[in-house]
Amino acid sequence: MTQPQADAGPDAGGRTLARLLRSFPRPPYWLYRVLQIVPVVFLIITINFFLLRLAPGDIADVMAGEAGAYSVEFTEKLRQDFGLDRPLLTQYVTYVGKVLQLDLGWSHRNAQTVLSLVLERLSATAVLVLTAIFIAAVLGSALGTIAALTRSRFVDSLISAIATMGFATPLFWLGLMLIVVFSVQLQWLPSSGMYEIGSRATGWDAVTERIRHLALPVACLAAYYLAIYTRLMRTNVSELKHQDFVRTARAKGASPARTVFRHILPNAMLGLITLTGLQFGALFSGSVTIEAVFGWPGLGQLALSAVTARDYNLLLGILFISSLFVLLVNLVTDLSYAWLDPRVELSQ
Amino acid sequence: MTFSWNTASLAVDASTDAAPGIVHAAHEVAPSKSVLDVQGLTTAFRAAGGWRDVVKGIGFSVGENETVAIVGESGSGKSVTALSVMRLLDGSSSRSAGKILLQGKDLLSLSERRMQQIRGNDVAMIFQEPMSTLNPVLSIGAQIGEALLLHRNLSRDAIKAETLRLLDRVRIPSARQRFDEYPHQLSGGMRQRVVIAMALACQPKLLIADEPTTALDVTIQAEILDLVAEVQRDIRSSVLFITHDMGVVAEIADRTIVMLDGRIVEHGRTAELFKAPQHVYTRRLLAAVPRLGSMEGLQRPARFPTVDPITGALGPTAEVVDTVAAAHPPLLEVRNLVMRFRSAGGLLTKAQGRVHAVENVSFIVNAGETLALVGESGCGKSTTGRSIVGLAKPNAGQVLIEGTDVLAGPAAATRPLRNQIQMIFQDPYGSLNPRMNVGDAIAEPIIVHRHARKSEARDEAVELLRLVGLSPDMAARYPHEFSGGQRQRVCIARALALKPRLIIADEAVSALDVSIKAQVVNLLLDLQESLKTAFLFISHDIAVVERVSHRIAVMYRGEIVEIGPRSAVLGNPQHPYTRQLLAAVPNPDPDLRRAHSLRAPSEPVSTVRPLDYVPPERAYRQVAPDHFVHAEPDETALAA
Amino acid sequence: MIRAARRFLRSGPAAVVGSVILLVVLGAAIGAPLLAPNDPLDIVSMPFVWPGDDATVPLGTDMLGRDIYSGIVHGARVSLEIGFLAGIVTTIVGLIIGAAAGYFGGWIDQTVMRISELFQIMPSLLLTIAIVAVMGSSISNIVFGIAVTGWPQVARLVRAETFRIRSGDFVQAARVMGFAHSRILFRHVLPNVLAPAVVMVSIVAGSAILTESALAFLGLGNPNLVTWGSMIGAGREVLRSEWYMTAIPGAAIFITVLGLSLVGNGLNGLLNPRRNVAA
Repeated sequence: MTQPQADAGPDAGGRTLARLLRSFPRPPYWLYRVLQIVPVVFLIITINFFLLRLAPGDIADVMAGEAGAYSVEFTEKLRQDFGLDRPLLTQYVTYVGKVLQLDLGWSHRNAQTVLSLVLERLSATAVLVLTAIFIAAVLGSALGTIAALTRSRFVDSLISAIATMGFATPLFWLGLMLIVVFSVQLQWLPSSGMYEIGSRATGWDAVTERIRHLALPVACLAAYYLAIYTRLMRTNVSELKHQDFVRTARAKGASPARTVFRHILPNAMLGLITLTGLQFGALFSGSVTIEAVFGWPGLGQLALSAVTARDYNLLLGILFISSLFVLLVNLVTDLSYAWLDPRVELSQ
Repeated sequence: MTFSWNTASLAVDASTDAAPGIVHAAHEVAPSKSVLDVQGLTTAFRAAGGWRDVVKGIGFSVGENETVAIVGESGSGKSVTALSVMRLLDGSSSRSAGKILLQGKDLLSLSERRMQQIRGNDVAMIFQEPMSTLNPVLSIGAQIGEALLLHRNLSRDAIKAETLRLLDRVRIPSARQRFDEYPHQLSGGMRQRVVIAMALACQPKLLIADEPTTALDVTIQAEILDLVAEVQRDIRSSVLFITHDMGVVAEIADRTIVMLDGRIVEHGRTAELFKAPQHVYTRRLLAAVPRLGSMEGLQRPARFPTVDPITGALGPTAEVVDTVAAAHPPLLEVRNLVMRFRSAGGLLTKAQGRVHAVENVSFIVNAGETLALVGESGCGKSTTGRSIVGLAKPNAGQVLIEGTDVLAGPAAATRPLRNQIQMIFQDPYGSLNPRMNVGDAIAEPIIVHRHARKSEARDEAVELLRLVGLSPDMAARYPHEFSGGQRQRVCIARALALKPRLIIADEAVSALDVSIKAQVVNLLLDLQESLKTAFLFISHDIAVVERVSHRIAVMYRGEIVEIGPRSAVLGNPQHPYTRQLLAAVPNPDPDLRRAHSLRAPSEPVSTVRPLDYVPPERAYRQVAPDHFVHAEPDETALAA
Repeated sequence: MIRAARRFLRSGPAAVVGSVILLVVLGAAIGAPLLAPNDPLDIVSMPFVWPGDDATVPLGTDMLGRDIYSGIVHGARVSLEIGFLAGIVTTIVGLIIGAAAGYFGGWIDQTVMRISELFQIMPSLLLTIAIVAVMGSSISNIVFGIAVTGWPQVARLVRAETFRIRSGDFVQAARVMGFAHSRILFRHVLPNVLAPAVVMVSIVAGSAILTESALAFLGLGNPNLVTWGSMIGAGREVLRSEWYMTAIPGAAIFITVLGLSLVGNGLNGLLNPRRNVAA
């Protein structure tokens, strides 16, 4: 229930601005939603700024990078660029301005701009994360639905128990154990990297090689999200199956299968879409340790090397770009939710 | 075919109700040929440690083109009976035994696959909650068409054409446009029409309607009842109507079955059953049913008559002694109360309209008097009550208690005055803190405002429990350990703790079963007599209002359109809306059955007005002493 | 209290198993110096002794000959300390923020919700890594990093509960009776919100233990402490041959977090008043 907005009548002068803003035509939902991300981006930049200020030394030291070619002149120039002699607010504005132009600085260790480094590695992480979430969503929905609909308490308990265990498993440890079993003992799958070193495979062979390398990290990353999806789907479906409209469908003569596929699942899927958006940030987190375990050349690996090199600028650049990525995924899931759920008016 | 009776239930009934000679004597019944014939139906649910019978060996039949009503209070097993016939109960937690013959076929012996072919085709069902009965993510057209898709071998185009025809038949305007709309875009009454269209799709021989009008406003209810009656004539089907409302039964049923605790206690032709109820329970039920017009000749509120538990004889209708004490200034005066807020619209979006929830409402309540605010959902009656106690902040107007405006000035200064007014709510469970025992809940205001010591407050709480008819040892119990009626008594006791002179009862008896409702109403009248408490009785139920009130104010679209003494407003209604409202109230008397007339569906009363709407200046015309009515009826109101 | 405990134990074998696990881990953490007198950093035996081969080092030794059993027992201290500190800090912060947002609504609510969305968008482990990398890897910094990313989850839950309860009839009734905001908040709203918040402590503690172990595994933990995560990190070097060095500490993490989540489930059932109604 929303709090009714008091309206004191035409003489309330202080509301002129709000009134003026309201007098514009109603923006479509998607535009409204896109505009909503602006303050979020600003807040992310702000957090980055303060983390940089917390780092040992000033921004110039950090930007120059302790491990890089450290030159006094260069650092001084940076100090001037960032106006470190000027007040905090000015520094902040300068920083925001630079980030908004996607100028995330220079990584000396890698002799590359932070932006190009991050973009280079983003695709590897994206492949890992997107494959994992796809598998987790499909398999999790199926398992959750079965758990909710089964008459067998044993099957339900088993699926619930597996989900509970999924929440308690450290992902990186699961990865290491999978390596022991599938790479060391059984020697079925490779344990590290995206492809064989010096591989010249082409065409179909290249594809299978890639899939073989993906298998373990994806299985590992998907495991945790499988647990989340299974639990959510089980809750959704067991609530929905007692809904009046499901009983109505049966009263019309719909078969149990039709009731599930036509009436329960479309409603249950809506909750899943929201979850996917919300969990995407967490999934990115998971990929950091997984990449470390499987030597997957993605953003997580890059972040760890940045930590080792004390390249804070690169580290925060990764944080910024990956947050933007998650933000975009959230935008897409929100818009698709609005498109799929007739109750959300796209014009609202 | 005549009724088949389960002899076991007969014997048990006779012993439990100890009503010599009055065991469900069947009024003369002989339906020509039965569509549904239920014999010895027993339905049990899995409970802790075994099976618990909910329906206990009942038998009845429904003849061709006949409407049979099953009435009973919550827990009587009437809905379970309906679901058993449809075989819609969960097979793992329930089981049914006996015979359910639909046109001679025993439904209980059929396979689930065979049953699927029968559901929606030979027998269809309409449910109570039109909001939740429809799938929110499927279009109206798809949901109606589904029954055709399942049972008729038709092309897509033919299904669409037939669906449009069904929408027309249930009088949904602009069917072609509605076809692609979703349930949330329709009002409650419209949704129920869609549900009826869905049930009609395959022209079933039997239509089961489970409380189909309970969630609707009384004017919409009248429309839906008319529609059901017409549709039944049209497709020549039989109707099994499940309801708790004796008024609805009198209105629609050819024959009536009364259920209590899983058994049929009485059945017969509706007119005869109402005229000469045989079973004690039926008598009690009928005595507790508020009926409009039963108060003619009485000036003051009157208690529901009591029924002798043994003989079933009716006690007298006890009129309350005169408690009204008019004074200047009056106990409560509300002056020009206005409550508006924007509908939707945030910082970047333009508001589409303004809700005029309460518009220029004025009235007084005298000490010891009951003023009823009646009207349909969304008319502003609850908002008015909430504004008086400070739960809603009005935009303009005054609330004067004994002449002092409690909206102006600091809250702390007016607190003692505002404590004179307390409130009880519709949902007694929700209005008690689940983590506080009822003794503490009643003692809390005494400790906070009257600075009593804890032990004194507890003693007083116990006294209050006794006053509302509960036993003192219940003080240590928690809300979930009480029944609905008992909880409402606890809420009343708590409201009395500050010794208020006025209690606002916001739909306080609406959620209670008929017989419990009568008991709580009688309690309120007892309290009025002994404590001289005044009531602002907010309710949509005009029949109850007639019994409890001295004066009545009718609200429509945020305004009071008519106000006056109870006998004047109900006996000589002036405003067209008052008349429409009174005409729509079903009368629990089959002889006074309304003629079923088909009307175009009305859209619900809305208080949302365009942003540039300026409320017109209102003047009231005096009809009789104290009886006032809007001089000019609302421009959009009921031109017909 | 005793009745509640009995009901908790009766709520299913899972809750009992969870409680037993937690008690064992807690006992190990408290009694570490007695149970495992060896300092986990001391070299006590030959390197690479497999579990079971030598009764003096029941869980074997690592590549330097340090006692793995000692490491597990002493590691329980770090894990539980961080788990409970982070669980309690995060829950209290989330409880205060969420209750304020839910009770007062309006712009306070709007602001809190926007900020909590922000923290759900920023990949939490990356943010924690950045915080720990920048501020140093002391236990308090790790707890801070976990709390910064964890509070929105608690705040959102508490806000939703508070909102539901605030608009409920019994709070309205309290307002009609003229009770002060503080009385309504502390006597009527918070007792009803506390139950889900208590359950959150165990859930947050579990995820804090997982986060801490991930940090230690990645080499971002305190290098002077032996923790389960750092033991896995060390064992990884010899994963192909001496995999027990990785398997044992990982199993300790898994069992501890599982215990916490089972207890959380049990508490959830116990503290849910709606379940009490049905009972």
